[in-house]
Amino acid sequence: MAQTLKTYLTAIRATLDAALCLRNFASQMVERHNKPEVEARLNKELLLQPLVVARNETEKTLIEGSINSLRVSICIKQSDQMDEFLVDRFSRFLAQRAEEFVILRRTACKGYDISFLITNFHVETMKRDELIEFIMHFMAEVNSEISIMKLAVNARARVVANTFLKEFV
Amino acid sequence: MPKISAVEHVEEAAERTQDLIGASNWNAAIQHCCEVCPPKSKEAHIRALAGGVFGSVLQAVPSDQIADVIAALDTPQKTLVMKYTYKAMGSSEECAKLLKWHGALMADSGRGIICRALADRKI
Repeated sequence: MAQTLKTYLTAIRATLDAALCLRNFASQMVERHNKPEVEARLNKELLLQPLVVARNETEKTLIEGSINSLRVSICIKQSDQMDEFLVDRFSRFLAQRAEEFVILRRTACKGYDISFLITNFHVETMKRDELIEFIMHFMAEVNSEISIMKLAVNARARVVANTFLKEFV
Repeated sequence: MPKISAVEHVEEAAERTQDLIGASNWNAAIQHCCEVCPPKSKEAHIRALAGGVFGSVLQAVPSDQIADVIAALDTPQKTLVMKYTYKAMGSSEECAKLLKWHGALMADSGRGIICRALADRKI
């Protein structure tokens, strides 16, 4: 299982490395505007083929590139309802603070849990390799974060249940 | 000679590919898929059908044979295999074999093959 995770992350890193070749490109439709083309989607010739790197049906990453921007959408592994709830809470917590993260999107793309939007301006002000490293670190750590949260919830629930039911003993 | 529709063309290719897979002729199966795909049609369901055929071949090849099959392909064929590997990952439940294909193609051809896969929107 750890082996497929390693190959999954390696494939994503390689794809990001290839797709994160961005340059400044002003909008062709609106004068004096500069929009991330992966979001605007006004000109087909400026968009690249969206690629999906998947580990299984529930764990996948969608990488959509364009001439001046890249969108990375991640589907985090959710094995039960508790995982779904925790992932939802966690992703909302991060997305509400999207301005602090700079490259995080406020809402995830449909079908995914969290999305990043990287533009040419981000690549100009930040190191490209470090951006890729940030996303890879996030993906490697998010599953363990969710597991830790799940254990904490179960532990708290156990304590609460014990304390409550002691009154009836 | 009656014209064959694109769907029939893809279905014929699927049958031929299954025969080659049954005979464990992996090189011939991949090369046959490379000749047939992408289909000359703009319809999404025909492209999806072709993607399914290619995906089934990629899943059928044993893991220890992947490197040998890739070595027998030329550069355009390797690029096509990479494009369909990504396409298959979008629709497959089990992707461990596809990730092995991805790793093997990367090891053989470098990052350029991913750039070529990104640039083609016909698949």
